[in-house]
Amino acid sequence: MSGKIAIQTTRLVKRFGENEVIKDCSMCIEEGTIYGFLGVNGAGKTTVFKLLIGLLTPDSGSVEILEHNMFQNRDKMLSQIGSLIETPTFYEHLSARKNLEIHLAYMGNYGYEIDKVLQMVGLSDVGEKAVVKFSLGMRQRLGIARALIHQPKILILDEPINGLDPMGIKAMRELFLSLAKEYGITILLSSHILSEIEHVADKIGVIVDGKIVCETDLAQVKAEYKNSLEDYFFTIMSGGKQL
Amino acid sequence: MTKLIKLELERINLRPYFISSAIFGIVQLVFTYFVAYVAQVEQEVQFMNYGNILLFTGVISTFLFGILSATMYARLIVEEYSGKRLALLFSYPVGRQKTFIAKTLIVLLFVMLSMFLCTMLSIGIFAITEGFCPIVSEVMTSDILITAFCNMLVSLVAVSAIGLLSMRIGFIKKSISTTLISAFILSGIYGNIAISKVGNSAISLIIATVSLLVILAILVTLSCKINHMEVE
Repeated sequence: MSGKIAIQTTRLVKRFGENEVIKDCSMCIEEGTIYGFLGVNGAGKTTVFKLLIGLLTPDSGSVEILEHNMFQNRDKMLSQIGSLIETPTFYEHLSARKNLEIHLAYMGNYGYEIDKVLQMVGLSDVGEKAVVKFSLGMRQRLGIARALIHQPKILILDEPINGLDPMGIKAMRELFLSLAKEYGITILLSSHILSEIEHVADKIGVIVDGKIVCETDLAQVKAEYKNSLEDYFFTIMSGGKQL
Repeated sequence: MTKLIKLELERINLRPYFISSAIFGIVQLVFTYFVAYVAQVEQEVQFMNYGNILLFTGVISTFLFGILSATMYARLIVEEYSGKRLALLFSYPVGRQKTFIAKTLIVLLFVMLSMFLCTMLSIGIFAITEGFCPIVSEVMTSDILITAFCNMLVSLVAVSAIGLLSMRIGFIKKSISTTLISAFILSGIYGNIAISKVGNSAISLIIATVSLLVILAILVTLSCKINHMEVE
């Protein structure tokens, strides 16, 4: 951890028509850390992710990525971010390798070798296979490969272990940890599987009805709640004590 | 821009559009012989001269390639900017307007080139066979061919405008079917104007000018809209 701030949002507000879906949302993520983003379905996790990468524009508030304003430097900052938002989409008729090649070319042609990334996500044997023939789990792995192929400084992953088998979940957990610890990549990820967040995150944020109600170091939660993130999460959800 | 066009071409499957263009070229050629032959048999005086035969097949060509153009815009632009792939497209660190212009240029150039080739081949083959085995009793002069060529140039611009205008209409509702229906209607309107303007170069000039203005206006307004689009 360098102590520098990788992602900072300040009082973000997003409305869809009359409906205010993100309210006064502030978060702060240090470089080289893994931030677990928790919240029930519809709480606003994906909307926050979309605001962070410029897919949505906030009605008020600001997003700073690597100390640059995201909305004034959108195209420049996007090259520093790898993202996987909702179900990943691909060029179905092309192979996994070709999909990654094209993505890398769009991102500026600098990054990991394709074989290495395919190996990192456990897709070494199917690089030449057309994506249309991929299972849900393989698509998810390829989505993660695509997010990190250009060696981004920040990874934003929305439910990255969806559709993965237990072996895949374990492999991805190890991958995320090594990316953060060895390569200094900042990872922001959401998951409904609390135990997974518990295994990888340094810090957690909980969003309730569009507002981040708490941000806490996981170590503190573990100390306070006898190693149970689940207990902490349910306490927050029921309006109980925050750390 | 060249790099963006290359990347777009790498991920687009153009094969169906090549096949469609080839089929449209054959249809255009067959139609030219059909009109010439039927006019002779039925003694349709209007179509017993090369000028009107080539004008009529030119209108058919405009209709066919107008639909092809709208189909390509619908699949490559309307669908992309309204579907799930938009999040991926907008995650590239490339200006959104540049990407849009690259996509539009691909369709624009593909349709113009394929229509140009099909029309030239169709007229060329018809002119050659008329040289040694004529269906029409009139003599094929260079003036007739030059007029047909000029009409084709106007049609190329008109087809581009029809495709883009259809896309703009389809973009309002983000609907492929709206794009295609718009192309049918606009091609029909253009066909009627083109048929009724026989020999009037002023109307051709107006059509070309209006078409160019439509193309420019749509490119400017739509690229601004895309730059501010959100992925909900």
